Amino acid sequence: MAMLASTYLFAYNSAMFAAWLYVLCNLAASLSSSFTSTTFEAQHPLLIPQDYLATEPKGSASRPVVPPVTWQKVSDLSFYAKTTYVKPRLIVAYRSIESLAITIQTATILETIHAILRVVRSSPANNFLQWIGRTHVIAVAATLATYVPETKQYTSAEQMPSFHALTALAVVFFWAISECIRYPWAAVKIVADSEFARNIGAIQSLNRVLTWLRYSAFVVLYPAGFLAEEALLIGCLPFAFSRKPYDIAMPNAWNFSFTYSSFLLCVLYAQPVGFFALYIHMFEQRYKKLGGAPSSSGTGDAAAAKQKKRA
Amino acid sequence: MKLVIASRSGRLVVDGGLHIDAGETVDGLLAEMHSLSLKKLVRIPGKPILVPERQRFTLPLVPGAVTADGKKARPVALASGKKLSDYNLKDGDTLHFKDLGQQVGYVTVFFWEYFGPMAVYPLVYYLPKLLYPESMLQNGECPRHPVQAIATAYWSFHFAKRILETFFVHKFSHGTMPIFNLLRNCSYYWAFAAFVSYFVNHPLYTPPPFERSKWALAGAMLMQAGNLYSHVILANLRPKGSKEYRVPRGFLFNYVTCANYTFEILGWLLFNVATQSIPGILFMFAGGYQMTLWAIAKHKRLKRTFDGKEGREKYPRRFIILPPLI
Repeated sequence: MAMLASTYLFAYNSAMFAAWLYVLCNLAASLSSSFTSTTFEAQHPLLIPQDYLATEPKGSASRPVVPPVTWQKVSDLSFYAKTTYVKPRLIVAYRSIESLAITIQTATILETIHAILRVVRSSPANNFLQWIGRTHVIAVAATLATYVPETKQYTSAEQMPSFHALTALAVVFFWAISECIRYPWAAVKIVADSEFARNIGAIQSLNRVLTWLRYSAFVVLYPAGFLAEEALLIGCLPFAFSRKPYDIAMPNAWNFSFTYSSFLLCVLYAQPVGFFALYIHMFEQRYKKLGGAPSSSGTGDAAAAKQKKRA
Repeated sequence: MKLVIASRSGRLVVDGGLHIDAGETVDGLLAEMHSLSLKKLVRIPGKPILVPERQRFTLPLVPGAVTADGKKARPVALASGKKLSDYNLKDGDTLHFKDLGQQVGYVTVFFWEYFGPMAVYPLVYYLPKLLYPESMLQNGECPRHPVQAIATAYWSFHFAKRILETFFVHKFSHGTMPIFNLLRNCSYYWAFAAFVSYFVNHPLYTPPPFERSKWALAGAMLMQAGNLYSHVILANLRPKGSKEYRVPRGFLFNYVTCANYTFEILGWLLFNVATQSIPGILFMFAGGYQMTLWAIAKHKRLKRTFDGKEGREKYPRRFIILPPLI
């Protein structure tokens, strides 16, 4: 039974690693092809920036057009970019990996199921919270943030397509890198802990390197991913307030109402708390697993000492 | 004799050990620790006064110890009412000490956690103009359906009943709990009361057919009666002052281990049939989930205590909480 479980977990972690690696490669490929394509404009005629600029609503004599709020102008990176094709290209690049990223993220509900079935020792509730938080970001918020700008039907308050696409891409990028460390680490750990690989030096060294990476890379990747998620959700706020997507209004037979903008605000308030708790927890784990040495030179020694003990 | 008192991580809690007569009781040990803390002789950050309720002593765990069924052994806690000799404590033995933190009485916690919902729900019913925007009201008035009035009465009656039961029916086997539980329980009940009340007393509320609501709430009142009767049975289960376990018998207890929870859950189910709202259904599921966990634990404990071996009573075959499901 234990053998079956670890074989399954090895397969699961390897498959997830492969999937995220594929996303990462695709991301690089589609970004570079978007930006080097000379026929981009012809391929994506709806998205040319001339249309984007033309959507500024015409004012009437009684209500003149107020220039867009400055911070939105400032945060619109294309404002500084000389190339006129930046905005649609980022959205097109995001589209190419969107469905795959959503599918993979949704599939991680399996990790909650593993926790419920006690295949892995972790809390089902925490796992589920993390799953729902991330799935909301990628499947709900990122869709909203990139879909509306793509349609050109946006108001001046929502005008920052490149910003939305950039945050969505950044979220996927940082997740993909983190997962391309976490999954191979988990897969290799299963092999390294088995009887079969106990004396195979190459697997043990690989395990040590990946363990070090697993408990070090987060120092940079977690805050980066967190900031990208926050930027994406903040970017969603104008859409959430003006378009009321996913809202349920009273009256209805089930006597309930839902306001996505309020939900987003709750998430935005709760997210930093969750992030700091997780970040501190990971530092504690790092201290535990890497022997408390803050630098890379010390951790190797600690791992080696542990290895000696085992032998 | 001298006992070494240490924290679970091995830090000494009482310098020079705790001197106590070998024939003393566990309560005597708690009292001694209390008086040491009054003299500020206990090494706990902040030098709190350790009343007996906030102390927990456990026997140190033998490394690698396992229980009969092969699971990792849990440390044994010294129980109030027993003697030190019951645990074979000898001179120089070590006891692990844990400060359970500031304690608060069960009655206090129960009163405040039930008082909130009892008061909050009718506030929303009677003062809608303070809560809902002008645009939702009709000519400045909140339209009211009869079901909202009787649901409010039912809700407040339910929590008033719980408060009265706390004072006059329940017998608590523990005296206190950590003060954090007061905050946690109050947040749960107060927030859910506001959540349910906001939607059921909403100006745009859609009532189910009144005939249905009327019968459902009448049924819910019967469930309240059943719940009260179950609590009376539980309170009279053991003789005064005794702490031994008894098999609950009589009424629905002959078929279900936690009949009181059965009535409680059915009561909320009927409340939801009458008022039909998502928040009410969520409240039912949250409460039902917690009660099911408690019921499973109690059922297990009763089955373990009354295993039918060595002349002990055998626990009869019963549902746990919700017949015919579990």
